[in-house]
Amino acid sequence: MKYVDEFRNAEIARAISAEIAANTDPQRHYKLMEVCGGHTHTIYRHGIKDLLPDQIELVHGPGCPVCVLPMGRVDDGIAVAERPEVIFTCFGDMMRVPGSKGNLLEVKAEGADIRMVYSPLDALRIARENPDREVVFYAIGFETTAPSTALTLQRAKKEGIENFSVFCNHVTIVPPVRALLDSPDLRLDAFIGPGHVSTVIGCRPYEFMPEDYGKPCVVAGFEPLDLLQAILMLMRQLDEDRCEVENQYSRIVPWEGNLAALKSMAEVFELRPYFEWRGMGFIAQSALKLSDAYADFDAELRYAVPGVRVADPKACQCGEVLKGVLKPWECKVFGTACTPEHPLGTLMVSSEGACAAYYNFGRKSFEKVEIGTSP
Amino acid sequence: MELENTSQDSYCTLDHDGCVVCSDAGISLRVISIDGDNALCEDAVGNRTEIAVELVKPVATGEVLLTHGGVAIAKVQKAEMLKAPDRSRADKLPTEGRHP
Repeated sequence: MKYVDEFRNAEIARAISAEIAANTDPQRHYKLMEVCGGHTHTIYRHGIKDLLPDQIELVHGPGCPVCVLPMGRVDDGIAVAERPEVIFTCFGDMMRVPGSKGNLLEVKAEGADIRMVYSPLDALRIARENPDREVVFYAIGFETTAPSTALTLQRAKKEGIENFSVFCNHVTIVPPVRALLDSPDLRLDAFIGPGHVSTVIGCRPYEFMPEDYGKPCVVAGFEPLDLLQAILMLMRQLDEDRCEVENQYSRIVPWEGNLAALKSMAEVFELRPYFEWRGMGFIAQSALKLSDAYADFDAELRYAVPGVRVADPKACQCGEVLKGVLKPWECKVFGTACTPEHPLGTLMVSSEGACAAYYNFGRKSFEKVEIGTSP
Repeated sequence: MELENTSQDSYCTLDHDGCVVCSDAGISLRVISIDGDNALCEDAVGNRTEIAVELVKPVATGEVLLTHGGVAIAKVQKAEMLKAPDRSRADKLPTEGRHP
């Protein structure tokens, strides 16, 4: 398919790699954070790191919604799923995310009616087909996914479907990035901005990075050449002492975002005062809940949930990995007690999680060798 | 249709659901036909599904949409082929947009 093959050309990749090297100061160490889990996946799937000078360190960010979901929210979802009148629907990866007493797959095996869906619109269809049951959609995701939930709720309201509700866990990308920039743990030089979130919110929300923190940001696509090109753009900014937001992914990302999607989200959602992020604690105005106009569809109001904050397992260091303080292989249980087959932490569950990316693409052995020699 | 030389293993397709729940991945689909607010769309290996297109209207057959969770969230513009860097013409790279 066009739009893909041209972004995987090895010759061009090598040429951009050489250009990146030419823009790298050999006396300096650069820390670039890829905010998005999709970028982490691409970096390790395609061996992007092999094409970069040793001076450039890629730090993995918090941009995987499964990974940042605190355990208590999983328990809340399970409490709803266990109700006999409920058909509980969610995306596939969500079913394997561990709560404090198990995951949704295990609850399903014990008899709960839990169904994997590809789209919230599929959950709405299930509600139409089962008017005598209550259908709950467990919504999760950044601004990429939130429009599909918003659109589904608008259709549900328009059609007057009353046996449908949403357990909303949508989060927003800017507040956690700001929290990272405020964190004393981490010194970052620049950011690779999330591509598909930006199709919805545009590039303007990232302007606080150069304006308030003096950090460049380049919004990037997800093919190998997209990422290499974005890194080159960042290295040029750093080399030229420029600091601004640039858009590498302009074939899909409009500078102003998708106004229709933003309007739909503004009607259906409102910001929560605060929301807990795994490993990062409570972050103000970092998540969405249903607006008053859609309160009738809010599963948190329709059903009693425990709402208890649950600490991560002691051995799990997802929080430090999410903040970029630790590399996945530096976690005590990486690849031993915690594997994709038996994940202890969320970062090993999702294919976009940094730990799963390392594990699945065999980077751990390379990185273990490299860590002793890295600056 | 430009669907030749594709490999399901290498592409984000409708039946490779690894990216459905993720934060920031979408699937590019080509519009086959349109029915009101929905469009029948096809992925790189020929899988077809119905996609809600309210958020990217107007939509025409043949257009490529970025979809996520069954909803189109953007149109994919015709991409220019990336060129190898020419150090003597450094200002020509990168090919894509800058802050307007």
